[in-house]
Amino acid sequence: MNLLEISNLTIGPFNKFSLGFKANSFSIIVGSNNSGKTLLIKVLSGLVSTKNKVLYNDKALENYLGTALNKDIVVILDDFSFTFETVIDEIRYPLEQCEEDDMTINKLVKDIGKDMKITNILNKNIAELNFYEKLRVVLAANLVSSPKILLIDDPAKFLNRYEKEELVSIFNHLQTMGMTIIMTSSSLEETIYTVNSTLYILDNGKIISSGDIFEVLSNDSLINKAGLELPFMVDLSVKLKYYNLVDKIFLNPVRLVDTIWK
Amino acid sequence: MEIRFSHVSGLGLNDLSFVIPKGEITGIYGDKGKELLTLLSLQEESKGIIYFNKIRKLKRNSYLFRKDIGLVRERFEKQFAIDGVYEYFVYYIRYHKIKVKDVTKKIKDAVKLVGLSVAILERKFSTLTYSEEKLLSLALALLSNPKVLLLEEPFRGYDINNKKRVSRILYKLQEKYQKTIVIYSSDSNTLYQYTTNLIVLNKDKVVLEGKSKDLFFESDFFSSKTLERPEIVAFIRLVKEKTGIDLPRRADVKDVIKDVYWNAR
Repeated sequence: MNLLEISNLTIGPFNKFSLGFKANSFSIIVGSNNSGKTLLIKVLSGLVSTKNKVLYNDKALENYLGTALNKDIVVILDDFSFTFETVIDEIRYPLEQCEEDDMTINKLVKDIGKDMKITNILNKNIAELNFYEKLRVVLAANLVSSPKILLIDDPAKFLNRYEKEELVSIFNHLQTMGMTIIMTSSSLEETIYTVNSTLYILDNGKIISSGDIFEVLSNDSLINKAGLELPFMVDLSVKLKYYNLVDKIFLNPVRLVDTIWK
Repeated sequence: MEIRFSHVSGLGLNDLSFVIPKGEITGIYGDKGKELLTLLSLQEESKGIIYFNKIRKLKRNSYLFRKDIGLVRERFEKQFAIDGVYEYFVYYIRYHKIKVKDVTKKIKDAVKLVGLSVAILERKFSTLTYSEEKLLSLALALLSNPKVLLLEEPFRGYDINNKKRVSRILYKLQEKYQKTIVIYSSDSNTLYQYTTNLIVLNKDKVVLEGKSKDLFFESDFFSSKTLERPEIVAFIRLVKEKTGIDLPRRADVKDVIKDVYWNAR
């Protein structure tokens, strides 16, 4: 059974579009510019009304407005806004709204701070933080009340390689704690750092390929046709495979060179 | 326009001396690259001596140079509270006192130049996608036909087609119109691919200045998380180190693959 599902949706570039996400899965949807990534996240979160085309636990999302939608599904788009000056106040706020007691709040904030690797900046001013730190503050504030589903639109766009790697490892960690994660991306770079995730290639409102990361990435002509670039080591390995110089994808350049020049 | 910095300090950067040649694409690499772009744009005060085309910039003449400089930030931030795209362009032209004969034609040409359809002029900014907004911000900067174009992460967030389109525009501006183009990127792969000259900052200083290709291949400076060697260069160097084989210094992965094929028996 799918936890969240789009069925027969027609909007923007999407035409009779259906796609389901299983509970506790980590799905990464990668597509070129204007392929429909942001719209998909908005549709899945209920921000764009779809007349019963999105199902949560087999019931139309509309049935959950205002109740489960606030609690179970969080959505993070790429424009952040903050209410408070300090990180800790921002993260405490959703819990305070739920009238939790102070001890519980302190514990939950401490835990999420650890998960998001922001323990050292909890008392800082948000205005002083860099983009990656702000992103994790937004994540912490959204996830501190333990939602079931995280929908996030292209969070890695402004990150460097190391930040991307850490971010997806944080998502992998959330997945082991039972969360369902659906993220979009404009680049394939971060996909290779994930484990146990499913990759979807979105091209102008259509899913043209999906499955295990490296299986999807092995089809380089399809990836390029969708306007996307393969990460360097994947690109190199896949093409050298055509020449029968290697028989699998290498992420470590030293091993690749050792294999070619035995 | 050639830009020469001599012992310039400001925005946390110290004692900067370098030359940005006219009519070429120069890359800036290193933590404080954004701040250096701001100093180059003359939007913030700095100490030291700056020459534009061998003319020294002074307080009283700096506005003359500022006019010739276009700065495009990574993320477009609206300057005016106007949501309609066409109205925004019209107001932009008026605000910056850009001399234009036929405003509508000028705006349509600018939009077409960056590969967008003129239908976008009917839309509102609040409905645009990230890439559409980013392309429009480049179109806006080109309206005043600046001699110097300062670009912050001009390729990040684009797919292959938009990257190709923007690189074609930059090459044309550089080759045909002799514009001076400066690109800041935190990604060495981007700088290796698109720039011919490179200025490398470490902490608050300029530590390297020269041809991008030579520096990325030969300098020992690129071995940290903040200053990385481009992946393609690292691979070619690795092959040399492990096998003694000298692969040509390529810019495109496809060429490297052919080289590897010919050299692996």
